[in-house]
Amino acid sequence: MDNFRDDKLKQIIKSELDRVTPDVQAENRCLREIHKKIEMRSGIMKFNKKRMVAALAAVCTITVMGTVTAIAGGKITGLFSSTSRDEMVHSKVELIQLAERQMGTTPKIVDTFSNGISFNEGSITKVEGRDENQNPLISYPELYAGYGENNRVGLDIYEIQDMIPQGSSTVIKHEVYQDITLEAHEDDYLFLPPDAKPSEEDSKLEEEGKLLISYGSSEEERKVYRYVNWSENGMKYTLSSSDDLSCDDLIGMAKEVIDVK
Amino acid sequence: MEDKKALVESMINGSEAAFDELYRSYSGKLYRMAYFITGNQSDSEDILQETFVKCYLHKSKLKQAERFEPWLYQILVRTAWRLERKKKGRAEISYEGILENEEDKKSAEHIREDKKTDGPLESVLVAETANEIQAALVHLDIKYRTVILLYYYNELSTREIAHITGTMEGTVKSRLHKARKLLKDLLEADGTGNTEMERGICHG
Repeated sequence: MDNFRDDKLKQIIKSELDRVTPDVQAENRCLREIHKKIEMRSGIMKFNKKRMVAALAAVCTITVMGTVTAIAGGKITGLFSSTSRDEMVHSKVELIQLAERQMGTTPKIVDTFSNGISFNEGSITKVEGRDENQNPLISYPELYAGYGENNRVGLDIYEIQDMIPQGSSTVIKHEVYQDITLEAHEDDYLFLPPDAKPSEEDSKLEEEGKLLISYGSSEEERKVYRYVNWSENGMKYTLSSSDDLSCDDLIGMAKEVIDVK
Repeated sequence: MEDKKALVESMINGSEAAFDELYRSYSGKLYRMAYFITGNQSDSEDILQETFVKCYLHKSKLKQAERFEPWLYQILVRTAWRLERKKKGRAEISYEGILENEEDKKSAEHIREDKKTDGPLESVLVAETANEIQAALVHLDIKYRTVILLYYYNELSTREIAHITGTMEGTVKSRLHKARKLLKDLLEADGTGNTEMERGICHG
């Protein structure tokens, strides 16, 4: 194609497209929507980052929430929190002091588990439970304690909130220890690059609630996220990991937390 | 240019005001680009929104502020392609898909050879109105429309287009060549009222 034809085509395309102009109102509406989506997704990102433990820190967006599933409007559909590295403390004593001041309670925290995994860092974060329109319905402090290299194990503790719905994850194991019921759960996660398309099989599993698909990783990665939760003295405890620790391992560690005097 | 670079750097550092300003300065152009690729307003708005959401959420991945524009185009193009894939599913046949099959490729060539003689596109462009060309563009596969858009509207080099679309430069050149040829065929077919056969080749 010589210059004349290229110029002609260029001119036609430019003049045609220049006629397409979104109005200012639409432009502003779009910007509001963009901010809403950013807030929602970064909230989910922060929420899940903490839930998924630092081993999965590269993950950007989780499409389905882990322990809090989407429910009817007017109710909590997501939990949002953010943690700054500056807010992290690196001693168990300091974290307990923070909890006493900000949560009004003394949570049970293990220093080093019998399997050698030790306390690394922790923080108290403000968690917001929001409805589907992003309106905050409740707000409460939550303690996070990271254990081992790259916080491979996480312990979350917060005062029981009636408005937070029960999760839909499959209970792998039940166990009663010192009159406290321990429940072990397992979730399968698939992490995909931002523009990747899940296979039909994975999409079907996602629809059936058997697989949680997350977009934003640099390469495809599958992880099993296991966690054990229990309630004690009005507090909800969740011990979680996404590496090779089994549900039995986590239950054993949970018992050690319960044993803390 | 320096102002824009400073704005991009501010956005990377988390400034929402800078992000808003960048949105205002690019939204019109990006909306037009999305419209060219998709051909409808609703999808164009969705793509525009998604592009800026991704832009903000992944801003830390942009290492050079001066590469902001092509980076933004890259997000837009891939978002548009993804939406197209989602909408069309796998049942639809793309021109490109057919060309990858040797037998069909021969058929496609045969169809084109059956048309009027392969005269220069120049004569067709001169003869047709802008509206007819616009109508013909709609019939091109999304990947061909994208290449045409980036080359003629954004005036990018084939190398830059390759980077944005995640393809080899040779593929871009080939798509550009085929797109021009298809455009010519479509315009010629339109002139003879014989469009059905062509629409079977390139979905719009």
